[in-house]
Amino acid sequence: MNSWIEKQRYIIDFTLSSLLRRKVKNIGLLVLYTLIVFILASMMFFTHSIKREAALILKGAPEVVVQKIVAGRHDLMPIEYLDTIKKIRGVATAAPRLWGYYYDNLVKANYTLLVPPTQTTTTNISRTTVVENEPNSQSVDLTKPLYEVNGTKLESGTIIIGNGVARLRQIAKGDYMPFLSFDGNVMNLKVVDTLSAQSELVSSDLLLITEEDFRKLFGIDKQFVTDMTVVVNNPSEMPTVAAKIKKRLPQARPIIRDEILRTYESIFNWRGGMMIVIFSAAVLAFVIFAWDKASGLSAGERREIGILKAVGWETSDVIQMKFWEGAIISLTAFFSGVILAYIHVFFMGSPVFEPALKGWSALYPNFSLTPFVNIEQLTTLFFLTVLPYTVATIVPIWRAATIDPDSAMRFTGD
Amino acid sequence: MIELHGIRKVFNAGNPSEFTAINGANLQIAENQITVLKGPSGSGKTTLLSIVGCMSRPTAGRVHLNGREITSLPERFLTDIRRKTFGFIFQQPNLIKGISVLENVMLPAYPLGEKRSQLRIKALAGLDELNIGNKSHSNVEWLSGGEAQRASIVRALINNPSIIIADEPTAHLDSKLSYRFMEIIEKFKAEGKTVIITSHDPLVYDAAIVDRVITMRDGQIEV
Amino acid sequence: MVLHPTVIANLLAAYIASFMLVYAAFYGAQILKYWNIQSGEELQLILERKTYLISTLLGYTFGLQLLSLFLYIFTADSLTPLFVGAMCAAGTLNVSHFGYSVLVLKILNFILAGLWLVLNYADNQGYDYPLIKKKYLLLAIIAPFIVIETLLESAYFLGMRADVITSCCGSLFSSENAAGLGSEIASLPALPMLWTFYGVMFCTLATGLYFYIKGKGGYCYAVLSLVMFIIALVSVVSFISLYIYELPTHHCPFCIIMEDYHYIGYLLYLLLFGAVVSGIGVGILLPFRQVDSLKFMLTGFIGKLALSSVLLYLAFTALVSYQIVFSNLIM
Ligand SMILES: Nc1ncnc2c1ncn2[C@@H]1O[C@H](COP(=O)(O)OP(=O)(O)OP(=O)(O)O)[C@@H](O)[C@H]1O
Ligand SMILES: [Mg+2]
Repeated sequence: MNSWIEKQRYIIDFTLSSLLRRKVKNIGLLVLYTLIVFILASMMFFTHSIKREAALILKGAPEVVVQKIVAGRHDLMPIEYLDTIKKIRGVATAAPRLWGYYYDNLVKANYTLLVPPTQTTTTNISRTTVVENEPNSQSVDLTKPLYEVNGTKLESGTIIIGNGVARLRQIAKGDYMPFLSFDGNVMNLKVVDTLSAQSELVSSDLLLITEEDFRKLFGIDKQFVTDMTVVVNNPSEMPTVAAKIKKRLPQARPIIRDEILRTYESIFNWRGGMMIVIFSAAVLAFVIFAWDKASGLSAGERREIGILKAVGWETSDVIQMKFWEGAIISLTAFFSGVILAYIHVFFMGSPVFEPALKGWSALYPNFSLTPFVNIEQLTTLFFLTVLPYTVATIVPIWRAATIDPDSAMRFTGD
Repeated sequence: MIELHGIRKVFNAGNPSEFTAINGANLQIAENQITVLKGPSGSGKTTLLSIVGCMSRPTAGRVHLNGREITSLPERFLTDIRRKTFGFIFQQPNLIKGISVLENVMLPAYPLGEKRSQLRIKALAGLDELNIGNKSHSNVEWLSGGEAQRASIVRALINNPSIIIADEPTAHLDSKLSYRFMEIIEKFKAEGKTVIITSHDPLVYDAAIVDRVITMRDGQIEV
Repeated sequence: MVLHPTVIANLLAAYIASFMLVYAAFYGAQILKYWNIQSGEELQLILERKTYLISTLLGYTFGLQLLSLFLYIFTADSLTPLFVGAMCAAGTLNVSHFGYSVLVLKILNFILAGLWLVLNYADNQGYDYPLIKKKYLLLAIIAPFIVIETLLESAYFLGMRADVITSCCGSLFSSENAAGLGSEIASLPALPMLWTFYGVMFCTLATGLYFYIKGKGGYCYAVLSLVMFIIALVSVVSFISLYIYELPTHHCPFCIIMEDYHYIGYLLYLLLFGAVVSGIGVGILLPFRQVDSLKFMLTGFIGKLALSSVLLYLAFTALVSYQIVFSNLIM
């Protein structure tokens, strides 16, 4: 056993020194390898933490939202629905919501206008919910509303805007923002505050507005609301309650939060997967490059292996040497790529592919992601990069290792 | 004692370039003797030497080493026998560039997993014996031809082999160095080692210490 | 299909493993056909060289198989949010029939590859390739299994449909299509299972030690170690997990490899896998003790295998007992 370890030490030492002797050749490979790992890792870290961020934020969103659908299209909801819903067994509370999209011609962006609920108690009732894999409570406090306002009161004629809007329009607290209402009048609303940066993924394009102003802007009658949020007593009854709502109000469409979450998951998984599929061409090119590097042994290398075999190294010793060589290169590239990607995504805001992955409009959020990496991501990354490299080099390694030992007797000149 | 029976070695069998390098060689090489193989270029000396030294296997025929049949052994076993029994000195020093003389000399012992400290002592002693101890930490590129060859001799001896095989060892040496080489060979014999040399060089095959000269021609041994 | 990076990684691993093994089996078949140790012909020399390639491939496959087993569970775990009713890997694997079949095949193939390496190691010790035919026959048996595994795994992942909101009435489509952990194993009574586990483990260890010391009862040990392996897996589901989670109803064999439980599952499973491979290895090698070229080393090697198997099982038992004793769960 001892001599086996000693032998591996000798072989690793020799491998390291022979890698260093061929710096130029190996640095090229290493740089490319690191780059591949870096790009893949950045992509994965990015989609993963954005997914997580979104999930955390959605955890604070209402469990069930009920919309009205007319001819397959989302329509305004009569306020009477509220009583019908409240009467359903299992419903703890229900509250109406008023919100809508507003297209700003000036900056060509869509805002989300929202009337903050008057009594926050309706949306956030504290009770215990058993959640599998409860996320660390670091990011979002469940009891806080999404749109956190630093105590500023919203009055008629004022708005509170999200950071994205503020950036885009270059306005701040105290400025006026003009809106074109449904009947063609211009409404000038005063910005009294901006939203906290905490949950910018959701609130970036958000504008908080009073109910009065909202109805004036969109021309919505008093007896209509956009949709309703519902809180149920027992989370496991959610599907039953949703079915009951659907039955009582045939035109209503209940949407369960977990379904939004699931959709979100799929979309981000799909995006991440898509990027990898696109990127697989690059991985393939790299694998071919690695194959080529490994099989195109220089005369010097062939000679070296020939000498080793002549002086008493066995084929499997040479294979072991090459294995260590691959391991050293792979691990170096893997860890540098991962570390670089970590810095890139979590400390520098992934400048390289933010636009591609977020796919938001001009108003895209500018927030820093909470660093989050787990073993699953690293294993996946390992499989997607190190595995192809390793496999691509097996046959070339074996070829190199089976050079005839007596070839050393036929080397001439230097 | 090495015995060869009906050794044939065919290269590229079945191809148009098929070539029989050795054709039915029978030979016995006695222990503790200096044997020289001579013959014209291309007559198969190196090929025969590589078969004797367990570096390659004959296409047909049997090789016995100290009574043990080694022809059909797997490469693993052949290598094991080779590194413990044979020391090789090549026409070229065949040192690996970029690492020190000491490391080069220790190379054959790496797969055996000997303790590093002991191995170092052995290697340094060997280098000292051939008067190149002061070069142990230089790069091999800086060595002169004679020094490089002596380094390769130390490497051949690192696992303390009982048989030394040298293929045209003096081809690149001037006559002074060649004499020096023959002195080293004489010392081997005094230590009880068997030496097999191929050479075109009269300085080698006419030397007084040589016990036996074998002539090869066209892949066969002349008697 | 669910286009998820981890799913892609899984499929990639599966295809690579299949490819490597089929490639190896192809040359293995050539070796079976043309092998002639007495010949010095070039063909024979080439075949002998190929044996190095094949061992290298199998070595890599073995490692890959182990890694991909864990990756597979990870993947199943990370896909849970996509499926209504799935709480962890167990639920996701239940999404289709293939889920658990793939898992079982993965474990089986890992063990087979491990046994091949054991056989290969023994063969390499003989000077006349004593086990070469058996070795490549075994390879020919393993290859189809790996291919089946790959096909099933593809079917499993490609056939997945996430329950996402449809454009119509979303909530009504949320059917409870994935049963929770309702497998029969979980419902095995925990306490009798605990006694069975310790009882069989005791027999296994005793037989192993007896074989190690006296050299008798090797086959018995090989069989017992396989039985023990299965019992241990069942026990993980039935009661070991309960003590680790400290919940009287959580039976999942997968959550224990997650961060929340300090990755304790890795250690448990590695010990178990190591134990079963070396344990069955004993039985595989026993018939060859009389082969001339192996006589001298094989007995020693089999002894070492048996000892390491026993020690690994012992470590497993110790770890399990530790978990039980220091668990806050009282049954
Ligand atoms: N790998 C090979 N493939 C094909 N032919 C070979 C191979 N190795 C050697 N030969 C041929 O075998 C013949 C014998 O070669 P060998 O090197 O043994 O000759 P030699 O007696 O050592 O010659 P020299 O005195 O020039 O060194 C030569 O004609 C050579 O071309
Ligand atoms: Mg020659």
